[in-house]
Amino acid sequence: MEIYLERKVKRMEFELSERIKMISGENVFKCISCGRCTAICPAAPFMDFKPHQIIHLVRLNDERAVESEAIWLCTSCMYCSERCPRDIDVARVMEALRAINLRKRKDVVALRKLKDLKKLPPMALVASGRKYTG
Amino acid sequence: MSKFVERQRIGVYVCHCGGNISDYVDVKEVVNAVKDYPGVVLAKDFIFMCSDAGQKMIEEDIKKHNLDGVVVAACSPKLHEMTFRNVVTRAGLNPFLFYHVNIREQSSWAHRDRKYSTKKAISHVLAGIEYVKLASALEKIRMKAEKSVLIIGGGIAGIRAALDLSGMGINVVLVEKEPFLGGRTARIWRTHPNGKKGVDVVRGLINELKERDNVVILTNSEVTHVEGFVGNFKVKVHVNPRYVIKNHPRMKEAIDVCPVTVPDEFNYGLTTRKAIYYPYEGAYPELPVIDPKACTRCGECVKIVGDAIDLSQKPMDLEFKVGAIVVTTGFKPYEPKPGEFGYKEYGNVITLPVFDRLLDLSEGGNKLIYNGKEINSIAFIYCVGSRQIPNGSNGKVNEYCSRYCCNATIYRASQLKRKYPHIKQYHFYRDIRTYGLNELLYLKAGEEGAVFIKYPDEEPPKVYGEDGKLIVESKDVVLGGDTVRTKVDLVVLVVGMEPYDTKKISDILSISTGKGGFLQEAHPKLRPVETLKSGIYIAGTAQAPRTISETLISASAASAKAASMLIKGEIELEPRVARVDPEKCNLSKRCVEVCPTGAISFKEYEGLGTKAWVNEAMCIGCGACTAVCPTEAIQLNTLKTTQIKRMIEAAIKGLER
Ligand SMILES: Cc1cc2nc3c(=O)[nH]c(=O)nc-3n(C[C@H](O)[C@H](O)[C@H](O)COP(=O)(O)OP(=O)(O)OC[C@H]3O[C@@H](n4cnc5c(N)ncnc54)[C@H](O)[C@@H]3O)c2cc1C
Ligand code: SF4
Ligand code: SF4
Ligand code: SF4
Repeated sequence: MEIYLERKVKRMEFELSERIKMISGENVFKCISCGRCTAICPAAPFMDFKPHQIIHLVRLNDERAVESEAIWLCTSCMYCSERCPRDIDVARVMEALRAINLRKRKDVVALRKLKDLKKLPPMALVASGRKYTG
Repeated sequence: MSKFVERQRIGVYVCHCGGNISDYVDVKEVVNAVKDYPGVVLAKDFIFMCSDAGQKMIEEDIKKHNLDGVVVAACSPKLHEMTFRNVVTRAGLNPFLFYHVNIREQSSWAHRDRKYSTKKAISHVLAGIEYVKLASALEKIRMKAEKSVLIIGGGIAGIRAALDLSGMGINVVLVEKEPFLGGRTARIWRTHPNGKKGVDVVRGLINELKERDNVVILTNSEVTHVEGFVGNFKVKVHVNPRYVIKNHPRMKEAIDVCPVTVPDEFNYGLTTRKAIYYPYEGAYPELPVIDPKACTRCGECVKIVGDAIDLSQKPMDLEFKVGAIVVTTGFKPYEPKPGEFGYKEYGNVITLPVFDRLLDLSEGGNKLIYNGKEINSIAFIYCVGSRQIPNGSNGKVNEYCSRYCCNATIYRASQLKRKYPHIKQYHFYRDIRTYGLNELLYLKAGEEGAVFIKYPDEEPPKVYGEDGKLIVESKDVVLGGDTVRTKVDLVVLVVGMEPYDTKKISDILSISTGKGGFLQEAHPKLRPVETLKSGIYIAGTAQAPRTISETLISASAASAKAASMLIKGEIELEPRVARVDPEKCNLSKRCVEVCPTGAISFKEYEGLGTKAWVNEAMCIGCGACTAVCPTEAIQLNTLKTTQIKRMIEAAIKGLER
């Protein structure tokens, strides 16, 4: 796979890292790629890009961060934010990436359509509710 | 010579070392085994011989029993030999009539079998007793020393050392190969960590140096020959002509009128200079120099300043004496091979030192222009010429880390951001090594938006041109090896440090070079600025890659070491040296061949003719000569052949008991 660092994103006035900064207030350039966020992340084993890679992609202005599955697997547990030695609120960056999608009216969870609601872990429900409703 | 009398009143002291020895050596049995040995008048054991009580006991025994020799069997002599030598001295006995037997590392720590280790301890103690029986009372060797130091290399390390030594009242001769002082530091744009310009750092020190009347500065000069030994080195220096003899109010005009223009090496060819020139504003000495290779002898300059310039000036050879030498010959930046990361293949691939000069020359504007093109993006490639991995086909490689480069480059990232906020920066690195406080520089550079991309050790980035653009392509470790490609206007190769002509200088001084080819210290921890040759010290980047502050620390350390040796005007040396008995010497000359320091020569002895003679200041007491002498004429003061034989016999007897 190839990334072009200066790839111009269509219809986007700002680079990804700047958009993320505007939405979340977080400066991803502070990241030192230590990987602590990934080490603590309960969903990391299932993610296509791990949290520290997501941060790096944003820093490289690589839109794959926005398109990743990882941001939807994130449980918003905030462990990563708690652990980051550079005080980056990683979960907030995840949220900002979701917001970029949601603002394009991508995917919303329809709670009514979910089967066996009672069998689902409450945390998963809270997390998805939090994520899929913009 | 009076007949040698063996010592007959020896005291033996066996230490328990608080169980360290007594757990595996039966110390009582050792005492019993030696107490009636011929020559021994008393033998004792004690829980901690090095304690105040233990020391006092020995001291009192020596006086009370009129002991003429002492053996202590304890820990390693490295630890406490000096302690007990002092005890013996305090009691009025010559410190060389004492022998330290190591029964801890050699016996109790080495064997599990208590019986055997006891036996071995006894055997060693018996050998120690025999040693003392034949030991001679010795005095430290005192020699007159020149209170002056030669410093080779006038970079920041040499200048610092000159200031420190001169401040301690020691005369200094500072020899610099180039026409001006300052070395590489003078070429630095802004030095981390405080942003001061390299020239200003150098100039600050030089202004102090100018005030000193006990410093002689020889520029355009090289040391060609050194002989002698600590306190008395004889030095030869070759001084190349400067052709400019003195200053003149119209000197600037003389420079302007010179018709010859050549690339200016100070700026790595980014600018040009005349055949008569100053390398930079504020250079020292404040006298221009004429480059004899460029000068056509047209005489235009002479027409303006007359006898201030002498185009027929001849080189000079000076000879003088110094007491010590400090070597500060610095480093050279790694020069990439053509094609390495596109170097010399693409115009806009340059090295960090050149980039630094570019930044300095661009101080005025708010655009960075190189090769006539505005620079809006830069890729830095780290570890070029450092931390190279040998692969069998790439020959001699630099496996060490150059230490200064991560710091210097990352500091420049912040400085660039401040001066040229629009320039995008991509840092392709292997590991970031901003050790110590410099880590804060790294965190800051990141925060300010510099992008860091980690490339795999074995697969450094590639640099190539595409449609007239410069492309850097690299694997990205953080993304698990995805390829990252970026277009940039300039590629800066972060080159490491290499030893600078250390072979030549180490040959002249008979000192050694270490692994990377840098000058080597006597011991990295215990004697970090000394060499194995007494009186010769090393400092700065001649010894290892270093930043400026590290360079200065080592320069001050080397100065302090040199000064402490010379400041009394005489030096004290251990009497652990070889001496010749001229009556026995049959002039086989074998000793001369094996002596590693060249300490042996010949001299006239009254009534005996020419015989071998040892220069005690140069002898390191290695004993090589004693082993080859066919007549046992040359002997170590502290370990005679007869002593060795008697020690071996006693040791064997001890084991056979
Ligand atoms: C691009 C670059 C940027 C840097 N930036 C920084 C920075 O920001 N901060 C920092 O702390 N450090 C920085 N450094 C490191 C710094 O340059 C060195 O630490 C410092 O210059 C070492 O000083 P030195 O006196 O040991 O050696 P040098 O500066 O190399 O001086 C040695 C001198 O000895 C002379 N010499 C050599 N051989 C002989 C001989 N046989 N006889 C007589 N004279 C001889 C040389 O001509 C030279 O003048 C940088 C280095 C580079 C290359
Ligand atoms: S924990 Fe913070 S600094 Fe470390 S990789 Fe994650 S975001 Fe970066
Ligand atoms: S003599 Fe040499 S230095 Fe002087 S003007 Fe001519 S070329 Fe220049
Ligand atoms: S200091 Fe940094 S760039 Fe320089 S050799 Fe070491 S790791 Fe490489």
